[in-house]
Order: sequence, then C-alpha cells, then structure tokens
Amino acid sequence: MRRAVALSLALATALAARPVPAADAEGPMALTRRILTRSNEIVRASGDRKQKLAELSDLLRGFLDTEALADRAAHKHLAGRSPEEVAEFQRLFHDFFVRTYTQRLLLFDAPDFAYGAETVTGDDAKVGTEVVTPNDRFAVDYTLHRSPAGWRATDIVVEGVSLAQNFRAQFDAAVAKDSFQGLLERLRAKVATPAT
Amino acid sequence: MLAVFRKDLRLFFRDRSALLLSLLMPVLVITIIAQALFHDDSGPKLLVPVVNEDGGPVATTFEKLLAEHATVREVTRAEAERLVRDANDAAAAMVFPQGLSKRYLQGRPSEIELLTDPAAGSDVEAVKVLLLLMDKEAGALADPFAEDKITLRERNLTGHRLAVNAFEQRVPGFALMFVLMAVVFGTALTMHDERDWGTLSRLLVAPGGFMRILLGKLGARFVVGVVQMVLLLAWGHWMFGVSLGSSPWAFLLLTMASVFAIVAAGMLVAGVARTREQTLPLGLSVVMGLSALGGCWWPQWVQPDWMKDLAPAVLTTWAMQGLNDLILRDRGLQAMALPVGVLVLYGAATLGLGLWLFRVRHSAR
Repeated sequence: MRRAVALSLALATALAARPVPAADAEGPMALTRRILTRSNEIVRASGDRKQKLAELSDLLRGFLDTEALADRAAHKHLAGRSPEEVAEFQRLFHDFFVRTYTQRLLLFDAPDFAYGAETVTGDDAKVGTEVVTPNDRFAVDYTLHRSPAGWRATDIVVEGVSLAQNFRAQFDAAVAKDSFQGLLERLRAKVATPAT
Repeated sequence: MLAVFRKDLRLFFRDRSALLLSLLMPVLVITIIAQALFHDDSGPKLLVPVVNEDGGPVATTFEKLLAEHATVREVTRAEAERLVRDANDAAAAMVFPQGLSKRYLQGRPSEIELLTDPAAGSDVEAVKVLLLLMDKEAGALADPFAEDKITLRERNLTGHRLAVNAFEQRVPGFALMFVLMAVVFGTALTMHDERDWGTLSRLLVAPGGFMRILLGKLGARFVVGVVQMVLLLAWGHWMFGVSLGSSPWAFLLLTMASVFAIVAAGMLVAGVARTREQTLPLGLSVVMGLSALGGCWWPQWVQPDWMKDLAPAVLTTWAMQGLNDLILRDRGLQAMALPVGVLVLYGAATLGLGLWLFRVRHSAR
C-alpha cells in the first residue's frame, strides 16, 4: 500500500513537473490575444521604428507559419523545383512576410484590438479580431492550424482579403512577367534592403 | 588723361546720393534675390493642402511621408479648393478618399484625387512627383512587394486645361520685366533729359501748364509701353504657343492698367532721383526689386514669408496675377476686375506722388 501511494505520488510529481507545450496551454484565441497584446505593447512603447520592427519580428516568428503561407501563395510555382530552390524561397518568404506584416502593424500608431469569435474545427481554427482606431475598425481574421509545435497562423485575412491570396496574385504576376528565378531575385533584393 | 580721370572721379564722388544709391541699391536687390532663392538651407517647401476623408492609418502615414518633403496642411475640401482655385496659394491639393486605408491594407489600388491649378505648371508636376515618392515610401513601409497601389485622378479647378507649357509660365513674367525696364527708364530719364538739355525750365513756364505737358510726355511712354507689351506677348504666342486668353478685351484692359502703373512707377523714380546719375541705380533697383517681389522670375511660393507679405504692395504682383489668370487659367474680363482695379489705384497714387515730388524738386531750382 505504501509502495502504491509512493508510486502514485511519484507519478503525480512527474506529471506536474513535465513541461506543458504552449499549444496545450493556449487555444487559438488565447494565443492570438497574447501575441496581439504583446504587439500592442511593442507598438506603443518608446523606441525607434527599427527597434520595434525587430521586436515584432521576433515575436511573430513563432506565431506565423510562413511555410504554410508560402505554400498557399506559391504552390504552383514551387512544384517541380529543386529542394534548394524551395528552401531558399521559403526562407526568403519567411523574412519577407514577417517584415510586411510587422510594417503594416506599425502603420497603426496606437491600435486597440477587439476580439470576435473563435471557431475550431479539428486542427484548424479561425479567430476574428478587429484593429480599432479612433475613426474606423479594420477586420483582421487569423486562420490557424494545430501543428506539433502548437497553434500557428497559416493565413491572415484583412478586410476580407487573404494575404496569402494577395501574395499569390502578386507572385503569379511576377512569374508571368519574368520567371521563378526573377521572383527569387526580387525577393532576395527586398529582403536584403534594410527595413524602413 | 590723368586730369580727366581725376575730374570724372570727383564728379562721381560729388553726387553723394548717386554714390549711395549705386552701392545700396545693388546690395538691396542682391539681398532680395538671395533671400528669395536661398532663404532656407533645406530649400523652400511646397504647400500641399490635404483633404483626409479616410482618417485611417494609411492616410495618416501618407501625410507624414508628404510632410518630409512639403508643407502639409490638413483642410476641408472647400478650403483646399479655395487655396488652389481662389487664393492660388497652392498648386495642387490631395484628397485621400474614404476607405483608402482599407483598400490599401487589402492590397487593392486606390484613387487619389488631385485638385490642381495648372497655371502653377512645374509646381503641379512637383506635387505629382511628391505623390509618387509618397506611394513608393508607403509601399516600402506597408507592402514591399506591391506596386501601383495609387492611381491619380486630376481635376483642374481653374480652367479647362490640364497642363500649361513652360513658356506660358516664363514668357509673361519676362515680358513684364522688359516693359518695366523700358518704361521706367524711359519715363524717368526723359524727365531728367529735359533738365539736362535746359528745356525743363521752359516747360515749367510753358502756356500749356506743367502738369499737362508732363502728362503728355507720360502719355507717349504709356502708348509705347502698351505696344511693347502687346508685341512681346504676341511674339510669345506666335513663337512659343503662349495662350493670350480667350478675351481680347480682358487682355487689352490688363495691359493698359499694368503699363499705366509702370509709367507711374517711372514718374516716381524721376521724382525721387535728383540727377540722371541717381536715376540709373534707382531705376535698376526698382525694376529688379519689383520683378523679384512680383513673381516675374519665379513663383512667389519660393519666397520667404516676409517677401510674401510684401508682395501685395508691389504692382508686379497684381500684373502677374492678371496675366496668369488670363493666360494660364483662361479667365475672362470678370477676373480682371481686382488686378486691374488695384493697378489703376496703385498707378494713380504713385503718379500723383511722383508728379508732386518732381514738381517740388524742380520748381524750387
């Protein structure tokens, strides 16, 4: 009996001591709210724009699933490419997307966020939010997917327009005008340009 | 030779007023020109009125970016139209439409309305360049990959034409300056010539009366000035395609009023200058000063505030306003009422003062 109790206690202690993955601790809404709250703190804090950009980028890297976004935006152009080309595209797209998103966030001087509905369907979720400014409200919906690392955003829909779709249209136009290599070249140039 | 050299120098230094004028006046003119063009290290900034119907983050960002290159003033649409169309204080105003921020963040293009005064010519082009620059910088901030987010719809507030050529901006100003030069010197020097020739004393006691004779002489200068102005602008029309406006009566009325005020300015120079030697630096300074202040050489917005405040007090400002309304804005007789009225009043006052000074000065001798 004493052994059983000791075993139970040991098991309970071990379970309590086990690190709980963020995904388990936070649902899609909680995660989105935490990221946006922290974003807001960074945007409102004193400090120059470049510093804020760097902090926002660090914060969003773990939140945005840019591989999924890259696949949505350039799936047909990645088919048949060498693994090196795909890897380079995903790396460039990651930097590019994070920069684009953070720069858009910084357009809002001191945004407030309002939170709408959370819809979870299996491993997919949608979280509705609004950026509230003194004159207007901007609907921003996050599409999230549960991965082994936790919930991550696979698309952002601004005022009904998906950023992934938006990028897809731009990438399609760029490839049609030039080539996939030309697209890579433009992304390299954009990413190499210091953020403003 | 040495004796002649010494005599001429003595003569030059004996006329203290001429000496002072020949030194002071160029300094004054150089100061005006330098102040107008280089009064600020960062260079003069265009005034760009902005109508912010969006009120969102993108329009705010646009305004901030514009403010780096221009003087931005957020106003209502009515005030923007007044600044461009009526006051001509701005070459163009921008209207950021409602929903601009939402469309921009969605990645959809937006149409910005540009309310223009094409009479401002290169300044309108400068505003368009600023708009492109703003779009590029905003693109780099908000969407580094997207291009052509902004389309432009231009609306002329002051006439029917969307553009004027460079000659139309320059020829009227230079024509006015040359008429100013010819008429001011012609009028002032002819008065002193009469004195130097010894005929002034005869005129002063002539049966026709001093005033009538003087007015006769001024009348001749007036006719010559009007013909010169008409010929110069006609040459500009024939050679460079400069419009002369749609109303010949307005054109003639403005020309006559401008030349009348210029003849009066010449009479004032003749009244102020005691000698022919004094007439040259004084006349030159008047011509250059009036040309600079009145916007004959450059648009008045480049000038510092103190010069802009002074500008309504010079005849060339009103003559140029009339010429710009006539040639660049295709306005008619009605638009000439203000500039012509001011020029006539200005000319009458200046002429009265010049005649009085001249009579007092030379009757006393």
